[in-house]
Amino acid sequence: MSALLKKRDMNKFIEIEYRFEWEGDQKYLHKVRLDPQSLKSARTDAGDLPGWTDLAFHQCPNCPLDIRSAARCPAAANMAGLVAQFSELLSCDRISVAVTTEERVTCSHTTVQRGVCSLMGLLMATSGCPQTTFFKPMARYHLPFASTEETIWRATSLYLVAQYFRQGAGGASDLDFSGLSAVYNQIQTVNKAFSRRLRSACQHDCMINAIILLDMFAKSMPSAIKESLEQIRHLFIPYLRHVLSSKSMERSRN
Amino acid sequence: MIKRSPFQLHYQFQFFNGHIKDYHIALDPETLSLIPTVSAAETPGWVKLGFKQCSHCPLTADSHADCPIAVNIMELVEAFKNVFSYHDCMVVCETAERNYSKQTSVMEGLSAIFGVIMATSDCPVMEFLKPMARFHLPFATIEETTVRTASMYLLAQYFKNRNRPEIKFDFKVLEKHYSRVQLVNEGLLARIHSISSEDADKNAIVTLHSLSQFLSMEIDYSLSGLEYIFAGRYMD
Repeated sequence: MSALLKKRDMNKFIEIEYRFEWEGDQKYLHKVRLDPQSLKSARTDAGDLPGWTDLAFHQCPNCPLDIRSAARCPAAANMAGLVAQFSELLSCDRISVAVTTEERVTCSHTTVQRGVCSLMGLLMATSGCPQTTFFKPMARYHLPFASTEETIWRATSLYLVAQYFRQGAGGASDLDFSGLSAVYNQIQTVNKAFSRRLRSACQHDCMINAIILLDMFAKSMPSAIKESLEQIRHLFIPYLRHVLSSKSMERSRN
Repeated sequence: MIKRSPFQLHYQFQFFNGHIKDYHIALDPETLSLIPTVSAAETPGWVKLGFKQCSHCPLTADSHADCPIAVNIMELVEAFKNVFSYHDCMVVCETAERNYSKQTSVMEGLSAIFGVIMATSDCPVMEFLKPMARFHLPFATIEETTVRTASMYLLAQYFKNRNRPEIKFDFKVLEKHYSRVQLVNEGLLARIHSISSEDADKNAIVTLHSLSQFLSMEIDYSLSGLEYIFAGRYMD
């Protein structure tokens, strides 16, 4: 049965295509191609990179990269095309976004900042930035235009899958999400520095506001964890009441 | 707690001849139970609890005259029983957060709806799938379903064992649940088999059946094929 899962062709890129359409018949197509093994996205736009993508330009204080081995910030380089396209749009302008994958098309008629935020999160996670590499499993199962509730659910549940694998490998597992909190705390530092970069690249606010939106997710996560995921606990009440009878839980423990 | 409004899913089947079929689903935000759209005064025979009742069904006719899933799929079955399942169409699913669409067979669209209805009808066997229905993903692949189910289940274990950090994760209970889901699928298939003139809805159940059969086999083993996605991330 697992053959069904293993059939994925490891030579075939996972493609996620963002198509933006806005007032005056304007269009922008951004293709993200993920390497199926490393889940890293390759830059799809050609051309020289602007100065704001230099690694040393407002480098994140927690960045482990060294200018001798990396001239550019990988997240910035990955996003240069998107930034060039949207630097003149206003955050709250309306835009239609269609995200096409092999499985389905996902659409939203939304604000520029929300549409851009969705793609920005994907590009950062898959850029090769060492601080965002933790988000690659979420990027693999990318959910465009995710709400805070959806993000909390996805981030915490996928984190537990990683802990399951960690237990399987004989390692200690982190079941109070302290590791996940730490990841999100680091990301807040990245978002702050990254918005300084973007400020110098953009005339208008839509890119900055997109990263502020991303940062809202980052900020909500540690507090959600601190409150024991109270925001999504209600979804499990029927589950807890009916399913995991103490008897069946006993069996699973033994 | 803030009073939430119902979770809405609006499915639309757009056929190439211009014909359209709509299907609306609303879930109670507290219980995640399906909110019935029509109150059927008199239900047909195939909906009665005793009609081809699932072999392991814990419900009794004293408290439940009808099978809770059959009641909810009655309307869907009526709407689609004469549509051939292999016909292609555009299936659109509209939610509060976004719209999903796919050019696919009627059957795949129906399968997605069936999945939600079965999980949210208050059938005691299907109850554990309710959180999945809240974050419904239309046209999910087997890989997506495996990851979503396994991760949802681990989160449920977290809520159940919050004060026991030494808990060891496994999927034994989940596998047991899925083997019971297969019996429900078989029971429903028998019900639907006796009513439909063509094969749309029956095939949808067949699809669900194969999906749940796959999942009940060996979640551990299936998941191991996806370990590379998590390797080195959150793990070290």
